[in-house]
Amino acid sequence: MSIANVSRFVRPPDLGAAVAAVRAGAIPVSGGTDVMLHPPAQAADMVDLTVLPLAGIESYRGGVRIGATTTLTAMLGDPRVAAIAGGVVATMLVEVGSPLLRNRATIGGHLARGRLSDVIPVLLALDATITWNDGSAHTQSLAGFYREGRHRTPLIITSITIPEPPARSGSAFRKFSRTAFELAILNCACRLDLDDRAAIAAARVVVGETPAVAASMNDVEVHLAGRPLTPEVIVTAAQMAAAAVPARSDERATAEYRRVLTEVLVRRCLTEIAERLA
Amino acid sequence: MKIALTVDGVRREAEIDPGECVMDLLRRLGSTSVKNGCDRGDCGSCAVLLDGRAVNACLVFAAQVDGSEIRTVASLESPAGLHPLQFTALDAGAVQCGFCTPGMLMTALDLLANQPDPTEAEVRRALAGSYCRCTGYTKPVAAILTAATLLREARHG
Repeated sequence: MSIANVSRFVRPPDLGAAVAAVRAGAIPVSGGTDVMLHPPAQAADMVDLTVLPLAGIESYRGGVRIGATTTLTAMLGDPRVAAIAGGVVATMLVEVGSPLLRNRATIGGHLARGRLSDVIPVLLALDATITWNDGSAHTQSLAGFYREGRHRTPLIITSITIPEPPARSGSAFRKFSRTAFELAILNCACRLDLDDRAAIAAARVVVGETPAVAASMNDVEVHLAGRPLTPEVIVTAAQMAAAAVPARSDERATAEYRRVLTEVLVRRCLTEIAERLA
Repeated sequence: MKIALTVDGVRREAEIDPGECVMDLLRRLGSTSVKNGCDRGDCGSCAVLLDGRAVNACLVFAAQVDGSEIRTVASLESPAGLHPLQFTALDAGAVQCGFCTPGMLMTALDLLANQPDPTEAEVRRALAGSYCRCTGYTKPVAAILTAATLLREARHG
């Protein structure tokens, strides 16, 4: 869809020029799929980030670092992304939109959008960190990035880093939607790290599309820590998550429906992890 | 602003509006096989290959394809005849009104370039963003699987 209100399409010579343009009110464009669907209400310049050297995937301190203009398809086809955290990132990416969208949509654009996401809950569960530039370079946890509302400020995301979880760790993702192509009615990403005694050393339970982008179930994570990964513990954790999830109603589902889904998806994620770590 | 690109092997130059999408540009340049179905990336009727990968042309800024190579369904046929994807679509009855067919074939071309021996499930996943409201999907899926077989046989002599 051709859109109105685009004054100019700027091809910045470097990141500094791109950041300066964004700080002056221009809209950063990577794959452009989301910008096309949500055009500016008033005349604005666009800054083309794809001309900058921000694409690519590399091993980084035992994990993987992904440049912001890397497409979701490129991530899906990369063996380092496929290997990390038992393959949960790749498992999730297959369920994001269609191949046509994944061929164009980029990880940076997706994270900058900060909503309607299957990707963000998984990255939060894996303790990913994000690097951006608003005139100077910053790195912080992805959780902190969203908690502080950074994605709503003038900046350019440059990369995302996913650390490799500890050796005895398991991760899982579940999405509930009519088809994989469609937006999730609810999704869930979990990660459990076990200690030497097979008790849970650390837990991440993230529920997305509540319909807010993602909610970490902190009480559930605290409850799981130190306990054995038994069916009873899993059932209790799922019930706690259903009670705590900040579910709201929208055109896709009621809050009540989302609470029921939360219990089911958390239970399925934790059960899958338990089976994998058994 | 002015851009230059290659469309189906032919170099083109065009004056574009900064908010123009590739679908509208291609149709303006005469590539009317690129269909406008939904105009919002849902239906896949406008799918083309952009530098080798299938994309929704309605969701790509024309300003970003300066110097790029675009292939539409019109590039599939050669002097030797129809491409196997075209032939099998006709042979299997996978074309009814034909509106979705150009985009679907380009999506399938991308799939077979990256997965020459797909399973039925992989074909169905590849078509997740391609809507057909006439034939359903059974015949297009069967046609793509047959085309994959023909292409593999041709490759192996």
